This record gives sequence, structure tokens and C-alpha cells, in this order.
Amino acid sequence: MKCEECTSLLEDHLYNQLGAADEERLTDHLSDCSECAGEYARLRREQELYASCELQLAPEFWAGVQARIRKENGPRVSGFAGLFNFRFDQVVAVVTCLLVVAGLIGLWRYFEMGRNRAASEVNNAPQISTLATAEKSNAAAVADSGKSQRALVDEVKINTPHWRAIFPRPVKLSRTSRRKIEKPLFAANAVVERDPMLLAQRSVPRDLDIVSTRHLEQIQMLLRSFENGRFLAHSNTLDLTYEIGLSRNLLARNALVRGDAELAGNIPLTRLLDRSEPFLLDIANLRNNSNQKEIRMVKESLTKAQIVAALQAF
Amino acid sequence: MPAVAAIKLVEKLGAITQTHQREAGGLLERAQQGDEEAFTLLFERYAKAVFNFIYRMVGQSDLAEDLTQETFVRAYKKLKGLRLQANTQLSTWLISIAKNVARESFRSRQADQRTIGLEGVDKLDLSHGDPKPDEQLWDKEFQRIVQQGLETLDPDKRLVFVLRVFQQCSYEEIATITGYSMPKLKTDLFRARAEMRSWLRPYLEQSREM
Repeated sequence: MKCEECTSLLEDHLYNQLGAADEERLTDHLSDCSECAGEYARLRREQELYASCELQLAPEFWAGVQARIRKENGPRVSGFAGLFNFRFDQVVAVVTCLLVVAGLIGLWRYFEMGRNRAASEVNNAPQISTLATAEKSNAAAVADSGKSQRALVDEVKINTPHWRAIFPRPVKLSRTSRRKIEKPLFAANAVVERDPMLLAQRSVPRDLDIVSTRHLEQIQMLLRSFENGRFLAHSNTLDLTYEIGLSRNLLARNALVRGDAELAGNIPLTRLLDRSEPFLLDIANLRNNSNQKEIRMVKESLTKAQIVAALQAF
Repeated sequence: MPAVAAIKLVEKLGAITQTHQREAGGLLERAQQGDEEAFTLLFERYAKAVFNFIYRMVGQSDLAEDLTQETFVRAYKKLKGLRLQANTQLSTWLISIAKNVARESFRSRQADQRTIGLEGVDKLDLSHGDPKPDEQLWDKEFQRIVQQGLETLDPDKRLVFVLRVFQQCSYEEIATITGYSMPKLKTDLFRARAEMRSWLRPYLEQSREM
């Protein structure tokens, strides 16, 4: 064995980590080479000194470890509920979490609704200007009908409860339903075109109070629902209890609103209320079990007069 | 010693080792199932080595004791999922955890800008049975000097040196614990030994005279 190889194996020899064969060769070399033997002696002396530096562990060490392990294993609520471990029990934690989630969803819907409204206002702006400049054109009529529809939607939103405004019920219209709604809007424009008083009124800013507006809206909704009501296949009649009751109420209020309109000099409104009154009377005079013929007569008169369209246009 | 007696002694030693291994295996199984007593029995023998290793790395006895406790608590938690490879020993696994604990502590202390001292040394009993006062004084002084010398080494060299000289780990074990390549750890060890030798030269001369 050469001295170089011996030096590289000295440490392993010192720590008893040499194989038997190498151990034998190294021992032979150390007995022959005084330089390597001196190096090994120095290494051993150093190792003895380092070994003397060994520290003892305090006797209570394991008690400390076991205490810490027990502390780590102690009963506690795992997961997210663990955050509330010291203040609430699990049920309160879960309820709090649910409330926070519901609140966040509500806020999100609220802001989304606001964003949509802002976007629709931006889209409306050019249509309104078109309406002002090209009153009689077909495009303007379409825009106007759109505007009326939006105004109605806005009014409905105002009168709905706050929670419904935050969580609006999703409405999906079929193609047929859309046609049914759009038809009266176009018809309304036709009525306005024919009626000089309404045509004049359209360009005059209308100063309607909230009671009159609400009243007109209710009449319109009633007449429209009556007009669109369908008989069931196996039935000869319609349940009109709600319509009859509502028309009676509206009749009573109609007299008051008309009187106010007369005093205010709002002739178009007075006329419109005058025109609506006979139809309200017809409905109020129907019986709960009126037959198809009686109901159809009232419906036909409504369609002929195009009163729903007139109300909508107003 | 006659050859037959030597063979019998080797066989006996082999049988004892096998018994120890079986016992250790049983203890490990029990400890993995959460038996604290088995855990203590299994790891008791390593506590002093782990404590000394951490002390050499951090230089404060109180902190070293705390970190040793932390090491064993971590070991207890990790024990359930422990699958030791054939060539990996429990002590190597434990020292790996201790190394991480010491390194984390070193980093947090670096952030705190606290200096490493040796204030705990006085409270410790030295390994000698009942040394004379001058010997005790010499030991304390030598402790201080060795620790100061270790602190002059860079962290990689210190880690390799402590593992080799104080823990007497083999090169393979050091490579497993540190993740260093064999040439790097041999170079680091050679340089660390040389630096420590030059640092301790006056004291080594003195010890020779004594």
C-alpha cells in the first residue's frame, strides 16, 4: 500500500469503517511507515479531544418531549373549523361560514346587476337620440317600443322587494312568447300614428305622478292578461275571480285619477282613462263562471279597440 | 483464540444483532401505531447524539435542547408514514430531521440578528465521571474554543465536519443526510479538518504537554 492510499483510509480505520481486507493492508503499512503512523496518531489524538467535548442531556428531556407530543395530539377541531376552536363551537362556525358565503354571493349579484344596468344605459343613449330626430321612421318605432319595454321593466324592478332585486328570478322567453309581447308594441306604435292626440303627447314631456303611472300600469297588465287568457282544452270557462276583483278596485280608483288628471289639465290621460273604463266595467260585470261566449265578446272588443297598445304607448 | 471459538463468538454476536433488529422492528411498529412508550424506548439511544449534533450546529445548549425536543416531536409525527430503505438507518433519518430543524432555527436567528453564545455550557455536566477542577476548567475552555472554531467554518463544511467527527457517520450516511456528492463532501471535510486543526493548534500542543 502506498502512503497516499493509506492517508485516504486513515479516517475509516479510525471509525472502524474499513473492510477486513483493507484493514489488514493498512495495519501492515502503518507498522512499516512511521510517517503514516504519526499521522494516524495525530488523528486519533484529535478525535479523543473532540470526543471529550460530548455533552450530556438533561434527565427531564424525555418528559419534555412527551409533554409536547401530548400537546400536539390534544383534542382539537380539524380543518377550517379549527380556526374557531377557541371561540365558537362547530355549529356556530358552520353557520358563520354559510352566512359569509351568502353575503358574498349577494354582493356579487348586486354589483353585477349595477354593471348590467350601466351597460344598458350606454346602449340606450343612441336609440333615444334616434327617436328624437326621426320620430315617424320605422327604426324609431322599433327603438321606441324597446324603450317602453325597458321603462316597464325598470318600474317593475322599483316595485319588487329588495331581495328580489338582488336575486332576480331568471326569465326565459320562448320564441312564441317573445312574438306575443312584441306584437302589441308594434301595434301600439300604429295606434299612436293614427291618434293625433297621442302623437302630440309623445313629443310633449309627460309629467305623470306615481299614482297615475301605477294605475295605468295596473290597467294595462289586467287588460293584457285578460286578452291573452286561454281556455283549457277540457274546460268551458276561466277562473276570473282575481281579474273581476282587480277591475272593481281599478274602477273605483279610475274615477279619482281621472278627476286629478282633469284638474291638472292632462287631457290625453283623461281620455285614455275614459277609454279604459268601459272595458274595466265589462270585466267587473262578468261572473266567475261566465261562459266562453261572454268572455270572448269582451276579449274581441278589447282587441278591436287596441286599448292595451294605447296604454302601453302612453 | 482458537478458530472454532472465534466462529462461535461471531455467530453469537450475529444472533444478538438479529434479536436487536427484531426488537427494534417490533418497537418501530408499535411506535408507528402511536405508542409513546415504544417511541421513547426506540429513540432514547439517539437522544444524546441528536442533542450533541444540534448543539454543534447552533452553539447554544438551551436552544439545542429545545430543538432536540422539536426534532423528536417531528419524528413522532412523521413516523407513521416512515418507510425506511434497506440501507438507511433510523439514526440517519433522525439526523436528517435534526439538520432541517437546526437549519430552520439558524435562518430564523439570522433574521433576529442574535449572536451565538455559549452561556449554557456552565450548566451542563461533562461526560467525565468526576474530573478534577483544573481538568474541568480545561474542558470548559476547550469546549468554548472548539465551538468558536466550528462557528468560523461555513455552514456546509461545519455540517460535514460535525457529522463525520462528532457523529462518526460514514461517507454514505453523510451523503444521504446532506444530499451532497461524494467529492464535495470529501473536499469539504478535508478543508474543515485543516481549518479546525490550525484553529486548535495551540491547544493541541498544550494537551500533548499535559
